[in-house]
Amino acid sequence: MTVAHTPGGPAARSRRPSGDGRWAAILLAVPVLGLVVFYLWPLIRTAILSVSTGNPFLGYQITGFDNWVQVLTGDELPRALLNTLVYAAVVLLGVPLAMIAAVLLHQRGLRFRGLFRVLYFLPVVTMPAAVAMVWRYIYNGDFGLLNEVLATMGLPTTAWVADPRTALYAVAVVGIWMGLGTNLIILAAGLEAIPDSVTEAAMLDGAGPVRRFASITAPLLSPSVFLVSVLSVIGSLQMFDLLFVMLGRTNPALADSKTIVYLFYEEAFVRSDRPLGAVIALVTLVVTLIVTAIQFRLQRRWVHYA
Amino acid sequence: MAAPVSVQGRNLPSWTRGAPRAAAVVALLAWSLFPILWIVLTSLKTRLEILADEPVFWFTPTLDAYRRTLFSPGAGVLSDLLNSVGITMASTVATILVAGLAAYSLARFAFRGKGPVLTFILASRLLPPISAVIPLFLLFSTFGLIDTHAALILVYTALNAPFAAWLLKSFFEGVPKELEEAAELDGCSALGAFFRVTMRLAAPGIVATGIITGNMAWNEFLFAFMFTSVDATTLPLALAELKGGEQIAWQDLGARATLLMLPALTVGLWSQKYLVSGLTAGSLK
Repeated sequence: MTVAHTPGGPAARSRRPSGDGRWAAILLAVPVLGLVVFYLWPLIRTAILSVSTGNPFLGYQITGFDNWVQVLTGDELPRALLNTLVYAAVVLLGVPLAMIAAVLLHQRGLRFRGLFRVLYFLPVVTMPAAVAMVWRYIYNGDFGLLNEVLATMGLPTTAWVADPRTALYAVAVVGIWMGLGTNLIILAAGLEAIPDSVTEAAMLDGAGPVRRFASITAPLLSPSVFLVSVLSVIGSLQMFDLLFVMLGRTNPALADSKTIVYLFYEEAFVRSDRPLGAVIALVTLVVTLIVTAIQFRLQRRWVHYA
Repeated sequence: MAAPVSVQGRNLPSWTRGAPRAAAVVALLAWSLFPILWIVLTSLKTRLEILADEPVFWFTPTLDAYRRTLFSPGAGVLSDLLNSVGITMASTVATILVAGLAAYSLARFAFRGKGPVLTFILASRLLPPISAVIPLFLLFSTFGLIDTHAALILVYTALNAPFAAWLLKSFFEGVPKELEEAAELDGCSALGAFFRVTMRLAAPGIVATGIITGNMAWNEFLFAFMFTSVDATTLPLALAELKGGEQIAWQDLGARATLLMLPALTVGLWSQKYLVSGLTAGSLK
């Protein structure tokens, strides 16, 4: 699917400027109201709450930055931040995997290409909560498939999601699994957009498959790879459901595997400390902004815009 | 395909050149399909087959687990299913309406403030949903909306609208404005031209947007988990709260997971073309 340029250039616009503004205002009224009620106002309210104290019954008063000091100097937040970043980094490994899959499926002469695309695509539409449960079973220490297979091969086994050393990584593997389909679709579209003539010219010049990939495909695909990476990291920073369903509340590995959103859930809903929850929510926002900004900064080094 | 290019390829029989590639395709395929297959198999097993030391691949399938999941008293899956269907449909329709209004005006009109609106739509992706959770929870509590369908419908509509607007804008831009103007010259009203020309031509894009939006609402966990408790619980929650630790009846859970995946898988496969076109359009600028 290609995206057309904005139709009706300046000429079309200047034809009825006053009418345009009025129509746009009428059409945009509901969406803009939605933005204010569901995005802007909650953000401001969260910020105010983060510098307040009180409880759900008596209300909250602004008192200062004590909550921030408490969260930032406590030992739970740094741990959760580290866990979240480790999770995001591991899930990012799914991007090269999706690249390999996209290149494999892109080659001409591959039989059943359409069928393969459909099948790879399945994880996109499977419910994360159900997927988490499936993997929880595969990882199960006693009758999980993974351990049964490892045992037959004489390899060491463990209760993957109950062992603090492995739990976070076990969840991240599922994150990779779930991301494959969407990443693949975006990267496949990027590959389609590379003109055949470029690759063919390189072929005529004697470039082998590896050289063609390194010098032609990879640079031309880099904007799509960048987009997929940014979306993957943003999604990872907000991970909650996989961890919650795969580990469960009473899991011995939970204390060492909490992500930042999980910490938010505990503060704001289990302990009902809304102000501390608000601080964690804003920390999540700041971390998301910083990590994304870093990615945009780094892209100058490796992303080639034609 | 042109003549073999690589040096080693020239001396080997032709099928071996494709072999590593085919092996890689199959390995990746196994990776993405096997977990789904495994849970379906599990759901058809008996407890003994599940507790066996070795994985069991051949067995006589039984539907007992499905019978228990669907019909045992207090299973609650059917009411979750109804909630999920209602909430997903209502929020999808609302999203398309709201986002459609915004997208159409962004695609067709020039006005002051258009730049900021577009920037915001893109930036909204960076805003973690949890930064809105507490205020919305307090707001909904005030209006008695916690644990109601309305709360989730509102939240999902708000959550999906910016992305949907971005998609729809690109689809509306794909319909030349001249076609609308031609219809108006032929005697159509502005509204008539919109419904008879633009809507009709952008229909595949609208379907794609609806399916992506619906998929997000159908699978959403965080808000459903925090904003509902008894009456408005949706399907993703039907698996979340597990009791029994390692004593879990995995065949029952397998049946439950299979039932939860089935609707989205069916709709997803049927609408794969639309989903792909939507996700692709969303990725281009």
